[in-house]
Amino acid sequence: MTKKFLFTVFALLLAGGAALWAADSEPDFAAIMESMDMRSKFEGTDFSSRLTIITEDPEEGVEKQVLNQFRNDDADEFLMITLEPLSKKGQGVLIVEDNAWIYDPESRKFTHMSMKENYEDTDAKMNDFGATSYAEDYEVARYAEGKLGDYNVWIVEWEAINDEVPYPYVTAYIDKASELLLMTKEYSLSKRLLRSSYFLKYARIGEKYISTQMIFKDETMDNTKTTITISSVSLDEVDDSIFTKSYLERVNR
Amino acid sequence: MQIFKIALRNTSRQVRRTSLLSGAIAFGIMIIILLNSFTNGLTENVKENVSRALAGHIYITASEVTQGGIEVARVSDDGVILEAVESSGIEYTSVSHRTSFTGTLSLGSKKTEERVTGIDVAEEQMLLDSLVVKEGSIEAFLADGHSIILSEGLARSIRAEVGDEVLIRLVTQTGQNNLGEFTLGVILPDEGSFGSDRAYAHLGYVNELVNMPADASETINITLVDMEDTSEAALRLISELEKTVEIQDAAEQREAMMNSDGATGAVIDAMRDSMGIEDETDAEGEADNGQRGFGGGAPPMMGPAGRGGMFGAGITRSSLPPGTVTFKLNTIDDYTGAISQLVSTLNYIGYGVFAVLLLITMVGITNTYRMMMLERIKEIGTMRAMGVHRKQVRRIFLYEAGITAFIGAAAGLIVSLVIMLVTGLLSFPEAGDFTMLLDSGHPGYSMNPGVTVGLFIIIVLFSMLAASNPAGKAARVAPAEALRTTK
Repeated sequence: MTKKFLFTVFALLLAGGAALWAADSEPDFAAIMESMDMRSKFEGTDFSSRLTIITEDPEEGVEKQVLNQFRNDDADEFLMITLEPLSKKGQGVLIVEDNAWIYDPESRKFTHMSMKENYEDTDAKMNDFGATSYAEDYEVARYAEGKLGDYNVWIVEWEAINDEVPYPYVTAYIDKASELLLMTKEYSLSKRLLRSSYFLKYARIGEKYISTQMIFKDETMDNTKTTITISSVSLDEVDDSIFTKSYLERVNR
Repeated sequence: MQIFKIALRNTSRQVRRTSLLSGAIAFGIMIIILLNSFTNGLTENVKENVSRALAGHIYITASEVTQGGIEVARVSDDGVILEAVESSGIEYTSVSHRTSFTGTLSLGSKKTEERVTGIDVAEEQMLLDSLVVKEGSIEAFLADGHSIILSEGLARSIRAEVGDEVLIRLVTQTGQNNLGEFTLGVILPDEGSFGSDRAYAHLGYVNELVNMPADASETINITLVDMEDTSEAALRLISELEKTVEIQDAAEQREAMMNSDGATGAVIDAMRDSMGIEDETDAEGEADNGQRGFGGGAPPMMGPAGRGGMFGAGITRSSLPPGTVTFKLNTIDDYTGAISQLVSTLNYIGYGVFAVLLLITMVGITNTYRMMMLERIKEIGTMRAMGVHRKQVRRIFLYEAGITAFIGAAAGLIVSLVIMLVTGLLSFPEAGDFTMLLDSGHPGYSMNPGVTVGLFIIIVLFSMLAASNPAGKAARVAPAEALRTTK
């Protein structure tokens, strides 16, 4: 009886200790970040969707843009072509590996651009439209648990591990259950809050996730934000010729 | 001498005719002197204003490859440059360090994009003294390392008042986002498209924002004692720097300098000899000036487009090993190349107009002297009968034409000087886009003595040439026949 009692107490203590250890041990954020990156990257398949971008600016008013987006993540190819408004119809962005161009159908000229640039006058950066690379660019400096609305989240402070990422400091709010990014607060090198990004909805496509509704709020300007909605998602094969300059020229003829 | 006196007296015999002829010549001379002086003044004013805005006449930049393989515009070690400046023996008044970036200035919901220049206040007293303060004070700017000077147009575009906090969003040299928090210390009056959108901040804070070491800078600017020595000084500097560091496109830079307006003197001649370069025709050399400059492209610090190669949109990856540093020199001639070309064009147009006026005047002189020859035929006959030689008769006519031309040219010069004096007093404090062309708000003229003397010689010689045919006819008149002639 005594032996059995002692064994039970020992087993309970072991189980409790293991539970406490598990509760106190640091989550594997590197793995979470890698998982987030992997889930945003469409490998082995092409990706296309329709983007609706609504930019609200107290000075410029509200502007709506509709674009078609095509991605071939395996080849690092990306193309975005404007459908609306009519004044910008045919305008395109082509990214092939490290080279990015913007095409103006009026002048019929391509201009080099950077992935770190904002897309037009929106608060979205070019690299907000593609796969993420958090694991490659950031390391975890601090973390805490918290609540974001109804969600239990990890509040993780990331610091850039190179001096080339657009935002050197990021506070990420990651849903504990799904390990999906719900919100980020992005800071300047001087640690001033520059932008808040809200990932309101996700669509699951196989093992992949894509945020279908995002809001980017410029924290340095009053009442300025950009809402991006992604619809008509497809993993159908996209012709390779689409990711070329000649395609952009051709569709504008 | 007697012949000259007769010719001089003859010019006053028909005052009206002489006045008309001289007037036509005076008008042509006046036009060409005014145009030439105006364009010369324009060039000098632009160069002076550009040199003030850019703090110097020679600008040295360096491209450094970071550990991450990105090319950044940064002079980390100014020692090598300062040593080269000293050992080259060039005469300079100051050396200043500057860093600039293009960012988005915002206040509330207002924003505008502009280039901000970081200045070392200890080195730029001349700039600070030259600034006309509309609101705020230079003292307030000097006292606060986060203070900023903005032109009125910029301040107005974001509705900023002195004392307001202005945020400036920018990217560092390697492409990271950063945010500067400035206090508006000074508002300057607008100065047109080149200088209207001016924004100056403290070098230390600007370096911090673009993530550059505090003791580094984007450019090192050298102000020479004499701006005319720019090309020669740049050549000396290239030669000195080449001994210790790598200069980008040194050969091209040298050649461009040698073809530049100010490239004269023993150093250039020696370099030409050592490099086996033969003299080019002046016209071609001058036509190429400025456009080519150093390496042919736009200087790196001339606005966002130039800077784009290094900052923001255009982060440049290098195939060179990290730590590689390449220096580059630009001079004021690179910035004023366009204006120099415009001035050359205007001058050529002026010379064209002058040539047409000269032709018309010559035709007039030929006709007038033909008439004069007929009018004075009896007088010529008398003079010939009294022993005056044919050559002397011819000279009377030629001298008369020369004197008339000289009087006209002198009158043209006097009138143009008066016009220059009067219009030079006009003040255009709100000249907007044209401020860069003015000398402290006044139109500036710079008369070229060589051109003026040349014009005098040309007009006198051509007038004598125009009169040579009637003069020759007058000389060939037989005395007896001339005396028989009735009017």
